[in-house]
Amino acid sequence: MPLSRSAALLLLMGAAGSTACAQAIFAPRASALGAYAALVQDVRGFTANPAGLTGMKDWDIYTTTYTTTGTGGGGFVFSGFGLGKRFLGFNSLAVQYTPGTTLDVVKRATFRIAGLSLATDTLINYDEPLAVGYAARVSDRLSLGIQARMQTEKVSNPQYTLEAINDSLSTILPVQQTYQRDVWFADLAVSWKPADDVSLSALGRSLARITSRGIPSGYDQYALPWTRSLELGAAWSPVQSIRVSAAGSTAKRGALGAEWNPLADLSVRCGLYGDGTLSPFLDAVGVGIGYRYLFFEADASYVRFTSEANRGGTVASASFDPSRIDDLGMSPYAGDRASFSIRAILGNVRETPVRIEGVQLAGGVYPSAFQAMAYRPVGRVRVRNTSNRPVAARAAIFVDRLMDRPTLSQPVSIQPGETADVPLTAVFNDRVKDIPAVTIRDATVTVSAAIEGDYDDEAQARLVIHGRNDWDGTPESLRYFVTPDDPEVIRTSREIMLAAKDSLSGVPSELGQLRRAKLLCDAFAGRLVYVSDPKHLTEFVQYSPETLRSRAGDCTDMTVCFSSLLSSIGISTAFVDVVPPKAPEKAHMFLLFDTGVSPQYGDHVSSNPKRYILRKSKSGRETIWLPLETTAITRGFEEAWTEGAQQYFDDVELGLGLASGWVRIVDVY
Amino acid sequence: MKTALMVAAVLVAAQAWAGEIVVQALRGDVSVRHGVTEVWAKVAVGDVLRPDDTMKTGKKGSAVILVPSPQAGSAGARKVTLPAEVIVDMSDVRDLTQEELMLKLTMEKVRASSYQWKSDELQMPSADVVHGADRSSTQVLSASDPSTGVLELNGAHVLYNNGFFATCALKGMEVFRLYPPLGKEFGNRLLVAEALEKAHLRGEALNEYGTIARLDGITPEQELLVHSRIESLRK
Amino acid sequence: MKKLPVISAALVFACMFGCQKPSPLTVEPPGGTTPGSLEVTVLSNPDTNIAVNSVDSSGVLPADQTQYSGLFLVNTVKYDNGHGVLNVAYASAYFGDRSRPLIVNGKTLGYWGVDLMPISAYPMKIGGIAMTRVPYKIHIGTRDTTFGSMYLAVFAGLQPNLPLAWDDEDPDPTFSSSQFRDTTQPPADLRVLAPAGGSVLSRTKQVDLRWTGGGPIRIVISTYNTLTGKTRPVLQLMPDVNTGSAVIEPSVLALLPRVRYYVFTFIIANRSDRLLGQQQQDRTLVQAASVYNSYVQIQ
Repeated sequence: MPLSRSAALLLLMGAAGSTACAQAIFAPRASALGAYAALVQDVRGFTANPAGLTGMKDWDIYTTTYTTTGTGGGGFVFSGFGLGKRFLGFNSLAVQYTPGTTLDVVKRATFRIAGLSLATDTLINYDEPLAVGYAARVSDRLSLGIQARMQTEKVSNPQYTLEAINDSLSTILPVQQTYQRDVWFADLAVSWKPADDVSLSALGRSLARITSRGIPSGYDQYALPWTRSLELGAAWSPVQSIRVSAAGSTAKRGALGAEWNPLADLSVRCGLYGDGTLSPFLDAVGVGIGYRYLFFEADASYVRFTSEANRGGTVASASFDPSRIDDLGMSPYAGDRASFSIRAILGNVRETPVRIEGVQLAGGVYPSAFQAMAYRPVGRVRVRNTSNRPVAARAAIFVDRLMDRPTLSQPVSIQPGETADVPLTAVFNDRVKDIPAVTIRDATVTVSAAIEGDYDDEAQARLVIHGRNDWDGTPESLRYFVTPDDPEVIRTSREIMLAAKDSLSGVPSELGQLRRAKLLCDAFAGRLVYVSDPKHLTEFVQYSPETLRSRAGDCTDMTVCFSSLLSSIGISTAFVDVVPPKAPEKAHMFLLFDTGVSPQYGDHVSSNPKRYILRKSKSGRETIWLPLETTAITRGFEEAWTEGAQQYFDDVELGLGLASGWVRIVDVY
Repeated sequence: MKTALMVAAVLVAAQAWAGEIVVQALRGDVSVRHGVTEVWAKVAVGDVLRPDDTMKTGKKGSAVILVPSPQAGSAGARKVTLPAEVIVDMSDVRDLTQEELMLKLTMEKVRASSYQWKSDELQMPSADVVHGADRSSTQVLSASDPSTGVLELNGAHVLYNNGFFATCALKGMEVFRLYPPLGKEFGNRLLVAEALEKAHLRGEALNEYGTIARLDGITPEQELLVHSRIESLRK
Repeated sequence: MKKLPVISAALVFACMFGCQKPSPLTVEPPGGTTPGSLEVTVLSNPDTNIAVNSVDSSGVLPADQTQYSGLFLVNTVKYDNGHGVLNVAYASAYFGDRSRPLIVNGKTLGYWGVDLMPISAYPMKIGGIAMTRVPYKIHIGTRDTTFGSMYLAVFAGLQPNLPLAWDDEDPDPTFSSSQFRDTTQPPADLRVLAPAGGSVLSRTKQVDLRWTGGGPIRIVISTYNTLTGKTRPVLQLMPDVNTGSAVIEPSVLALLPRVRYYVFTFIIANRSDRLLGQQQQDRTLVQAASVYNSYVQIQ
């Protein structure tokens, strides 16, 4: 239980220490603290304050065992178990079965029947086996509770009758008479938190009673008393790890308790019980510890009475007075007790303010563009805020092996009851580049509204990850195949530049880029072969090193390769994607590269303005770009340039393709 | 000879009527550059010219071409005379539809503006290997020979005179880009502005007149003329 | 749900942990009484035809009396009916001859009381006091019939622990009929503190008994006919140890008939049982007893 929540949930239910209902001592946490009703926040010992049940999260299960350490003790007794559930948000219901809350009394008989080996003792049994509680949260600071507790009294008394055998002789016939009476008590409770660290409460105990008629009036001496009382309590948390509580009742009982959390999961408790009718006032002392692990909570406690009189398991007849037993657990005859319990919280233990309503992932992941996935959303998740407060929701996506850790999205603010689409970006690791062919992988999408990193909902979505060479056909995506910083590309281009170093000297700087481009292209003339797509019908693109090694490729491969080579020596390039509207199957792509030459020097590039294009480069300056038909590079730069220029003129100038949109120019940045 | 000429003329007319540009008459130095080639080639009467061809006339050259035109009525073709010292692209000798004109103008604007390719992705760190400017060379380039630009502007005048106002304006703008000094001359820019006006592109014409008004070295008379044009356009 | 096996194991563990039943609280009988230290015996009614002394005066149960041929009693008897305590001390000697029954209408009503004196010239003495021979009377119908003799002596009181000798002072011990010599030790003086005579007791509540006087004590509860004065013993209670107190629980009182008047007869008796007579087959009871009768009502 987070400490902040412990402090926030200090609910004060009045419990007078030893008049805390017997079932309260059923809970080690309760018995250790003494003034416990203030601190009821779950199914443990809820009969001390049923309004505290609103502290439950979902399912709450609890079981206890104890042993008495007095002279009558020995062995562990199953004390009982409790079960609680929160439902419809602000309602809670709990039931407690406590067969261990029992007092068996053997009233030894003074006599024996001559000639009969019969037990003549009177057996009296008091039980409090059942309690049912219901609580409702009226507001954040106010809760109401009601509970019903069951008590049974059983008297088993051997009776004898004289049976005449003849005129002079009679015999004794034993008859075992057992009488039982069931009593139900009703309690009402209210708890109120005036401040975050203070809680107050009041409990009206045994306000009403329903009893069955089972025990003749002759046994009234064994009846337990019916005492209505008002119990008040208070708890305060001076610091987050400490809680102190106090309680008092109109039955002249009181208690003080304290709980300290030296560690987040560890609790140390102590309590003092007082009885105004006794002298001295102090009736008992309790100590205990609690430990929490995951969704389990284990508690232990020890209660020691200051006076051992009548607590050794045997009392004198004159000292036995059932009318003093208003609490079976803490009766005047109960011995020192050590208790242990285990509690488990099941179900939704956290508030879940958000829910995933749907996940939509993009067409798939292209490993060539995997770096873009870190910035461009790979999909989105629709999240609904199911709480009554605005939340900041973050989504995360994780694909095993291909990601080192889930990628968190930016927080998205969602108002109560509303939905929002949270974009998902994915940071893949280098393994994604090794995927050879299309595969389908599970992507786990989580969403959380808290920073701790726990997610509130989880959805599985299928994520298609394409092969590393797969291309979706768009020039924008083709850019990601361009790898100017690939070592092989750099080495190749530098080798060529180095070999042509001499021819480059003396070239005006304005024409330098043009010259280098020409040299690069001519270097591959004759050494590259144009082939159609090697494996697939469409959209298989080789990376530049692959093209360089295989020395073959289709138009796309060539375009990519030369774009990489040109970029590696600092020349900007762009793809020209042509998709003739009347013949889309004749879609084609070629390359533009930036010569860096200003338009006023156009004559130095070509006397025919149709051979070049004026467009702005990345620097914002208008320069001369040359189109290259990369598949013709094998025939040399000039051929490639001429073909590219012709195509460009026909498609863009004459066909108005660029303006119409069936020609697109995509810069490779 | 006459017969041959007539037959040729008929043939030419027929071809022009069929939607092709035909060389009807030639005189002096006339050459044609095909497509994106750099070479000026000889041309003969009756040659069919393609839209990607460019015709140049020398100092004493001239040519008459038959251009398909829907306005030419049943003849289906129009005569366009190219005087001396002009360069005309065959692709310009035609009427642009309004749509074509708008598209071309859009392209111009795209080129002229500080337009950056729109991207909805974050700009990734560039993978380019950036080289420093090569300072090894000491050679300085000379600007392109403006005479070519002048010839092209003359061609633009031809277009204007023959009613191809749209292509005239576009050609003018293109020339100004390649030959910036030519774009600073009042007369040249006025041609473009008037062509835009004639092409019913009022807004573009206004922009152009505005640009003219801000030219360096403009005389008061020229300025007055520009302003009056602006005023009349605004009405 | 991965948590389920863990929960189940935890719960099972917790339940297994507690297999014991809690130890009961034992409430010990009051007054330091050892539990079960009072033996309750239902008394059989003997053949009521045979004349017997009432237990409240003799301190001997009628059933016992029919077993003995001779009764030699020295009793201090107190009668407490709430209006005062009547104190009587007496000795009586009776020896019934079994060979001479009194049969009326086929019923044996008694045995001839042997006159011990004709046989012996010496009078029967008790504690040195000569006993008076008196007729032995048997009640038949509305009349008493004399059937032999018995001997009686009345004392002012008896001193406890002072032995009394039955002795006919016949110097000739060979005389068979009076071969009776015995010494009896009077018991401690018995005084009953509860229930006091005249008390009204409740059947549903326990009855506390308290007395002074040590020695083997018995309490006989008898019905009491206020018209005829006759008593009929119902229950005998015998504490294992005379602690001066005892408790009669309601379940014991439930055994008593639903009549109103009872007498609680407390008897501390020193008894001895002897064989006497010609054939040495007749049993004789020699008793010295303190008897205290408390006449009460039980409602």
